[in-house]
Amino acid sequence: MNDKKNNVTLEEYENKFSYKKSKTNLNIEFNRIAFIFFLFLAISIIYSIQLLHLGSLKIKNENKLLSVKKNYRADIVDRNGNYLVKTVSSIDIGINPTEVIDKKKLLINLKLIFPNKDYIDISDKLKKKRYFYLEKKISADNYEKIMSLGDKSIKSEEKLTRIYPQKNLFSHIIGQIDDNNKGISGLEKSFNKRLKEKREPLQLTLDTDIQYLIREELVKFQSIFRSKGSTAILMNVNNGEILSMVSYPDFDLNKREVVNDLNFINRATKGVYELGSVFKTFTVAAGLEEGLIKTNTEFLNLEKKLKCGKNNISEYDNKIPSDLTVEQILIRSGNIGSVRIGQKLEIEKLKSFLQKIGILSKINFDIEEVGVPIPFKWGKCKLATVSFGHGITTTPLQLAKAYGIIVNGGFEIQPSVIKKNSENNQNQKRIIKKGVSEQINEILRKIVTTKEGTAGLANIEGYEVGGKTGTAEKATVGGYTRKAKVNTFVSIFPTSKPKYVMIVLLDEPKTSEDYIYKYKNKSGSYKGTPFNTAGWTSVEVAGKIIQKIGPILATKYKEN
Amino acid sequence: MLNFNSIYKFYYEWWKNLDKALFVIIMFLFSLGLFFSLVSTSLIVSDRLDTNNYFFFFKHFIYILIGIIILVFFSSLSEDNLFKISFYLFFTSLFFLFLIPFFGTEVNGSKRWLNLFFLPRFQPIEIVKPFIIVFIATILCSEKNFNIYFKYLLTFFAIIPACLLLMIQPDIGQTLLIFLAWATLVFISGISLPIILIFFSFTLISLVYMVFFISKFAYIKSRILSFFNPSDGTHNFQSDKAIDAISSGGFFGKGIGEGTLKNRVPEAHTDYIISVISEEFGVVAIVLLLILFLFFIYTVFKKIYLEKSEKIKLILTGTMCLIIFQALIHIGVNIRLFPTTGMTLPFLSYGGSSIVGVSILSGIILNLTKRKID
Repeated sequence: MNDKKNNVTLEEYENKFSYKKSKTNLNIEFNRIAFIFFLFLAISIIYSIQLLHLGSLKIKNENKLLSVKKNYRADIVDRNGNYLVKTVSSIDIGINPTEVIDKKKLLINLKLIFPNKDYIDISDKLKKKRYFYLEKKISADNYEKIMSLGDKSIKSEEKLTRIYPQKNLFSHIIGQIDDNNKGISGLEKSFNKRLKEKREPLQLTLDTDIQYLIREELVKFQSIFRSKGSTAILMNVNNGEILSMVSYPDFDLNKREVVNDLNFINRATKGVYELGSVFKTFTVAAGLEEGLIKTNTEFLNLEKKLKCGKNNISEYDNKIPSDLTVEQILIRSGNIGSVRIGQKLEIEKLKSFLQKIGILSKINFDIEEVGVPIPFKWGKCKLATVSFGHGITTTPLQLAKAYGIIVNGGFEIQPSVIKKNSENNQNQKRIIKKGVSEQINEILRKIVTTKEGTAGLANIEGYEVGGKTGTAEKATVGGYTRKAKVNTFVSIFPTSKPKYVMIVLLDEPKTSEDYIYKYKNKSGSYKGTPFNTAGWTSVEVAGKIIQKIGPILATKYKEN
Repeated sequence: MLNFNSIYKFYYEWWKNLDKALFVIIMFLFSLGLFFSLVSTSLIVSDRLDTNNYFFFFKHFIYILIGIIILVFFSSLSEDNLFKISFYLFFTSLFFLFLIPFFGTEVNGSKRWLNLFFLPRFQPIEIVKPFIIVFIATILCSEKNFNIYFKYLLTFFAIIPACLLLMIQPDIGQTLLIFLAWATLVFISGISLPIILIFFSFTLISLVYMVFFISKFAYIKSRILSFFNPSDGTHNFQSDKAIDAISSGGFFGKGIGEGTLKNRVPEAHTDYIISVISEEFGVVAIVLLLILFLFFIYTVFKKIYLEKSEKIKLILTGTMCLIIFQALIHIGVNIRLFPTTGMTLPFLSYGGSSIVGVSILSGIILNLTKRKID
């Protein structure tokens, strides 16, 4: 027993001895093993930090996927919060046949998920070895299922879809985006950055209901007067907020078509027109502003015809008296009278007035599709023609702005479709003398109410409509054509304290033989359009529109 | 009677010398896996395969029973026998690995499984891993008076076949794991630091070359790229879902059975078990799990400190590193610190090969940490 014990100890010593020699050439140091441990410790600490970070992520943004953030595009709503544009992210599923491993198995699995697909076709596509889309805008359910297959050949592509619930209604203002989430026209272009960066929806000043009603009327009268196109703008004259802006023909944004036809331009902002008599208001207003005339200033012995250079200036209406007051010139839309006022003003004063109310230069607007008024050289004849609105061009939007300033008491406004949060109407800048507006408004009202006025058809009871018509022949190569006309009616209401200005412009309307007019200022009705002038077309359209939107405006926007 | 006596004696001997702390940790980890399998993951797989709700829990349970038998077997062997058996099993399992390119079964795009008629379907690499460590350690501790660098070269050649076979599967995660374990062994065996630096920079360059210029590994490239650019598209489907799951679980989880990830990600019960656990039990549970793993390695390393045999030191470090590296890679993939690789979490993930493999590893660890009878 004792012997055995001794033996063991001896062996042990031998062992120890042999280790010391270290035949293995190894040099295992414990500090290196410890180093490994601390390496793991460090990694664990990093992991814990990441884990805690992930755990705390929940509070900040629940249910918001990482992938959605980058591709975001804010919604657009109207002034009442109705969606005009909504972003929906959709996922397309494609298959790359070169990565398919087991074709049969894949087809069986796909059949389980999409039982109604044409599998002969899919099988053919798989053979062709070219990438193809299996399902576009896949449902969330099927997406989970198909991704759970874990097949490498199945590719998912997230796509951003803009949905336009109002279809055509706001096509020109909103504009289009390309496939890379980049705005290419309208607000989508000019507010591209804002829509991408901020999450809250972009609120517009437009009112969907009003826009709908106005468009409906334009579409209706488009078929009656067979015009090339038409546009209408409804703007609040006190703050420049545009409640409606329609340009017809329009297009359905949901279809994402490439629109090249020039007839589809935004007539309200991009269309540059010679607008005719509506400019007479400016001439009169300029005269009142400069104190050169009063509304009862008389102009005597007005000619019926005037020759300036090679152009003849004549009256539309030969029955017009030769002695007229300023008021009557505007009511009866006298050309020669306007020329006289213009001549009294002289070039500089008329020019600076038109400049002041924003007619002459390009307007700064929320969308980039804005027309540039055609520049011209002022001269004696130019002064004469400009006085009654010829030989000068501008956009309907600028016309609305100019009338807004003239009727709102003379305060500068900036037309906008973007709803501003703070209503700072207090520090408005006056640019036209006090009192001018009141005088003009009175005359504009008379244009609608009196027998001599050109806009009797717009005299809708209860809304105190005032306004000025404008019929301009379209300039063609080498002169004007009698047939192609631009008919404009600028209405303002209520004239006692104007709140709205509404432009209705019809591009080349024709007469209608069986449209029945109902007189407003006298009893009876009249069948068929006698002339394709603003008084018979645009005014009628504007009247119908005011009839429809009037109650909404009167109730909904009572306070502001 | 005699029979009973010998069983009792065997059991007594085994239990008496066992490192109880380690044994408890290992058993605890196994039972954690079973617990999660019972409460959360089992249902998914059953749902998908339309079987009895707890079918997979029972299957998992049976795997663990098999695992424990394997564990007891390996831990009760004498050291010499262990080395001998490991030597044979290394070559056998390597042979199976070698069969994969010819007879392998493909699951989800990778040929990693062997489905031989007399054996259930398994992943040979899980069996190769423990024995390759023993094999490397044996070479390194060879007492024939070789130059030490020649030994390193030999061990390198020992892992090359396994690595190559893994790469053609392709299974980069396991390749990386084996390579890391080998590098760790070389590192602790006392190689001089400059050589390590040179070697590592060389491998790094060749890895980058491989990933970016060899078409077979294009999938790694795309995974790495999508990993660094997480907002780019949705092709990183699993990883996105896993992160969402962890975030939605928050610190303390949604509660047992409330998770939704398990229904949405394929292989949630194996490759994404951490996310599943985290969604239901919170990130705190994962941090605790990390601490448990660290405690495990700490206990083993403490044992290594007292150990005299170089070979045992090497094997213990190597096996431990395999387990921890695998766990860290798994968690790293789940919390998006690593690109996606199909790697199970040792002890906890469902999967026969994985459980058997980790049982062998723990068996070896328990064997070598036994109290020495002098």
